[in-house]
Amino acid sequence: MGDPSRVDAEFTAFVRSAYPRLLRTAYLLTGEPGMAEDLVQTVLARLFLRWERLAGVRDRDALIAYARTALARQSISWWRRAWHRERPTAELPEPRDATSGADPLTTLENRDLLVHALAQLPPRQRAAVVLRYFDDLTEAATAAAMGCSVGTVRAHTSRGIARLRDLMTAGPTTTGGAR
Amino acid sequence: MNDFERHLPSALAEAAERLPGLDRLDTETAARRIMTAGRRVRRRRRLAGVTGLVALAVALAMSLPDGAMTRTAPQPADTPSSEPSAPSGDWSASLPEQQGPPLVLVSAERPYRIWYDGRTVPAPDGVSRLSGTRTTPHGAVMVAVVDAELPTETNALLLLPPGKNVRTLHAPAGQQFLTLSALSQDGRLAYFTQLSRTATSPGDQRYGVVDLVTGTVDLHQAPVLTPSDGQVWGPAGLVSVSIRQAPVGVTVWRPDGTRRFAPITPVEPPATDGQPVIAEDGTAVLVPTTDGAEAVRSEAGQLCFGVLELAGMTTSRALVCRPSWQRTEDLAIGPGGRWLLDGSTPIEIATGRRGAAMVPGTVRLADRWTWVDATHATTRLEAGGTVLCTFTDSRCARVVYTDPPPFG
Repeated sequence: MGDPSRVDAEFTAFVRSAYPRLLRTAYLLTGEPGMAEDLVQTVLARLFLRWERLAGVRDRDALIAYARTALARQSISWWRRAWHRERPTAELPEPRDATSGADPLTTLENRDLLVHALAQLPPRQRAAVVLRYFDDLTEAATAAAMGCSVGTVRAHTSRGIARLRDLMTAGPTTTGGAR
Repeated sequence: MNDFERHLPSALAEAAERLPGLDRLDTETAARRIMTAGRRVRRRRRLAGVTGLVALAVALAMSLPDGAMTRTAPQPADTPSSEPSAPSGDWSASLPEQQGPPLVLVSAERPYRIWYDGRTVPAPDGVSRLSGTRTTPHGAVMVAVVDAELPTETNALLLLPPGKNVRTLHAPAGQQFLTLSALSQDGRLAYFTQLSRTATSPGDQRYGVVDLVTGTVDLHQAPVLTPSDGQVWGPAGLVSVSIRQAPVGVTVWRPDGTRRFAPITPVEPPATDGQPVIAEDGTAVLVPTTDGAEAVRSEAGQLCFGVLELAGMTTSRALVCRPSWQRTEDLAIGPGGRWLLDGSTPIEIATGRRGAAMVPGTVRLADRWTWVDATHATTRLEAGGTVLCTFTDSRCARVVYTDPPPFG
């Protein structure tokens, strides 16, 4: 058993440095600020339980990679819980005009809808897209984080990007968002 | 790699930066909260591993007097003497609205106790954790976690009046999530939402208004869960503005259970952490508009904004236009929605229906505008000093610099 005050100090320092980045990833994975905070807190609380066993790991990047893996897997796992599956909304927004072949991300309005569109992807596709394009992980690192093969990551990423592009072009829908 | 994939990393980075509250992250409090949660899980696991007499012994030990089982935490040496010191031991803290010492604490060991206002009182039955607290003149209002270790875990709304015992205001049965959303300006009414953990349809969502003086709770059926990027209490009820998620618009939730929704055209929020601009008194909201934009726009492609007055849900013509990348944080709406103050450099004041007037000089603002009263607004300048504008008719008629202005 380590010295509690030293453990607290080390863990606090880690949270201070890693929390903002993990929170951003969690936000993209969940699409909702409150859920993102819950997700990061859950993952870091589990990390804290293993903190003493991880005492030999003092490479901050390795610890963040560990936390990011837990984040991705936890977000996929949460998705299976029924109460995360719906985001009821009041209005049916009008579909946006398809931007005649232009890149939807360069359209200011559509870029604003990215989080919403991302939340409509199946959880594994979403995790693959976020880890590859936001966290800038390689295919191999993404596969390790998601616990699947590189080929599966390629498939999820490719399908996720295609679906995201379709959603961004078609505009928002009102169901199926992450909670 | 196509254009879409090329732009995706930067678009995701920008989207992540829009996470509300990112600029106010309190990682120290987060770390404390996480360690408390981790220790609670550890204790629970240990308890789950013991059986028979051992379990009985543990249960007995947990019913020992205060401090018998708690790990003593060191007291901060620099606690101001005017502030009540936090109690020693293992406590979970509520989340204060702003950074600072925790307002309310709940002991992490049985028998659960609540510490607030410098004293410790027993927690109501089943209460073992906190999930949010707001301060009011009538005491602290908090959402507590009830039956945390049972499958029936739910939330309750508690009031902690100064010098009195904890009062349970609302304790719904059956796995309900409560969220404190806003307080009325006099601090008497608290608005909360109630969502079932097993919610599968919009009909499961409710919102309520609790009167902190009488303890009356009005629970209303709300057909939707409206996403919100900013909330403030106005004369008509809770004003909730969503600029990022559909339905994009302004919803006014009235205390009587009715609501009004006005859609607004979604635009790219120029600020990375863009928040909606809402009058502090909840009477008006800044909205994009194209009506009359040509008269105000100085360059093609600028976004134009007007004021949505919530009493009549009417939108003014365009009052101010700016490049799409420019932040809207330096815009401020005055009391009653009568003034729209453009704090960009040079300071410019656009008013009601009459156009804009310039404050002389080129200055940079160090802060957002604050309205002193209906006709006075003040802000700090980057180069030092403050500026006070007195509004009459259609312009900032009188400008007072408290320090010598940083320009001639």
